[in-house]
Amino acid sequence: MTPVQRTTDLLIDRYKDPALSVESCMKTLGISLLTEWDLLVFVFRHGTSLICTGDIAELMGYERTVVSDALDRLEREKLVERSRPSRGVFLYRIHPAMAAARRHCVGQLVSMSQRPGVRMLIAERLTSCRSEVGRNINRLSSKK
Amino acid sequence: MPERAIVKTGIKGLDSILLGGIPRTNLILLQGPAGSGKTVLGLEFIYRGITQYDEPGIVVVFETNPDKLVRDASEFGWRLNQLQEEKKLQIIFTTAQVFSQEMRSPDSLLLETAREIGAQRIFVDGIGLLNPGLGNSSAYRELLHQVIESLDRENLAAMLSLEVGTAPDSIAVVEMADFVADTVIQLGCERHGRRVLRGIEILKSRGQDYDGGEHTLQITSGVGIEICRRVQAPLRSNTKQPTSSTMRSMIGVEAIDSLIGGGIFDGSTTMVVGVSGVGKTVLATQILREGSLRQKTRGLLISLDEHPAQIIRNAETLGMDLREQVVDGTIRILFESPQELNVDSHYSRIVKIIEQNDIQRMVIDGMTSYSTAIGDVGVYRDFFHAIVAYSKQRLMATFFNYENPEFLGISSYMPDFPVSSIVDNLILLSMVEINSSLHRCISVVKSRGSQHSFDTREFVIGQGGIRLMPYEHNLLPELPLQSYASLLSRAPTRFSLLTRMNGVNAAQGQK
Repeated sequence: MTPVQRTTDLLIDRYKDPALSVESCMKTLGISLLTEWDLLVFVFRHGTSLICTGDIAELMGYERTVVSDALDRLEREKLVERSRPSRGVFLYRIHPAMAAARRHCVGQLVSMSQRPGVRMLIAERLTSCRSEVGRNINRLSSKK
Repeated sequence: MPERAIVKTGIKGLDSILLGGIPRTNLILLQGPAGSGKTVLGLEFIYRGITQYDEPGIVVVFETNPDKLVRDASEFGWRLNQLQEEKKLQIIFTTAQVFSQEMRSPDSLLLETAREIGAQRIFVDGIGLLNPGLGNSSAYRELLHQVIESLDRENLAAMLSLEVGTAPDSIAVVEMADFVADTVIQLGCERHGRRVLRGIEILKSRGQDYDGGEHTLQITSGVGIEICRRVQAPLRSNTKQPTSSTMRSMIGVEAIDSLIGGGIFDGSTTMVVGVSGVGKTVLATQILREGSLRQKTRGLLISLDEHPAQIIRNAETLGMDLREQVVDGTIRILFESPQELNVDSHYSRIVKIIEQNDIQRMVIDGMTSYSTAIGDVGVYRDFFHAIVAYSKQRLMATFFNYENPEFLGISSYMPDFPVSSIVDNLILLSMVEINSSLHRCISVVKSRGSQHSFDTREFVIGQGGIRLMPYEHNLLPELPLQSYASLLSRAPTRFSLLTRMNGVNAAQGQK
């Protein structure tokens, strides 16, 4: 285990409450919107994606403009790297220069989000956007 | 063909049926139904290229989540993420539309990525998705040609997978792709009884020869894909089959060496036929042990009935310690359960053991279990022929044990599977009843090219294996055939001299 992994694990372990772990990781990543988180997970899971914004929006069920804005922000935050365009298509991948602590946070959160209820916690923590998916998650979390 | 002009897949057994590999410029199409192993094979083509031939590669997926691809590959011990970090591999997720657009683009990001990592191989998983739909076959064909052109321009050895469905649209797509591709590899997934077997067949491959027909494909956890050449495929060898050797080797078992007349010819096959309990396995163990101890030959015992520990234990009770030879590898024991036995993979395993251990003496104990396990007489016969041909080519001494169901006196050597004509030597082990006890006997009924004895000899099983009992010739004077009655009914009775003389006297008295 690298020192970075150890630090991040400690960070997460410190908060036995998953809500606190989510809070801490999101702060480290600097993510505030659910769309951004979902896009980050998409890019993380797909490794290198050769795709256009419209296709991502379609696959994820978000509006195109929402996806476009979120990708811009993730790119500015150096979380996602976007290649030069080729007829409206880009290569997306996790930013190679992403700090190790942030990279590990993404991995930990993706892994945590597979546990029941954690996805809901993430949705509660982050501001949802003006999309159908976002509204649905909001509705679910308010019921809870 | 020069080495550089060939792309080796690196997949176990596949290059062998492709007689070395595939011409590098050939576009390879991998087609088959869901679950037949297309993605694993394509992925292994890339993985082996990187790890065995230092050829970086690209994997393009449309439907599969790359994350899951990496996870599934780790089941085979392939660390794809590490290869991606080392910039030897790039897995790219895209859509069919983007892919086709990229293939037509002069400044394609995909091909740029390939150039960046120095890719020499590419695997595109699921090209059926590129099909624009029914009635648009010319557009699809045009697209395929464009894809081929782009990949060719980049000098990429390309493997494309295509799912075969049953819908008319799917069939049209397959036919189109088959026509365009240079090499078409068909994967299958068929039900045999209650089990499902995977198969692989090279349908065509331009510019090369290959082993046709359907071979067995196995996907093994921790290993990957292994292709087992179909057992029926004739051996390919440039060397002249060396079975006409005049060299004889002593087996080291008196019962065989003395009756056959000074050992058996190298490369000959011997069938030992006898009822259960007559001593076939004891003889088999003795043959291998004597070979290892005295002739310094390496042996292989194959059994579908007895586990190695049981074989070693039983041998020990007769003072034949196999443990040492098994440990030092001079005797190998291959046990495989007869349940759902796949002859292709079983044969492939036997060949591998023989070649890796330089086996010179082999015993298959016994053929009856194969007949039950395989079920299909044709496949059984093919397996037997393959073993005979292979062992002859290697000039091995091979013994087959066959359990004859008839206890006292047999009406045919091999009632359910008559292949006695194929083997060179035929040895009969029999039980005979004398007074009220059973005695064991051995006879050599056939030995090609040998002046073998036709005497039936009694033997006993004791410490060290089987031992011939003393035999005295001419205890009774030999008489011509007419001195016997009931020869054709196979219960001959010998007239005594006295009986004959009495008969003559009685006749004279009547006169």
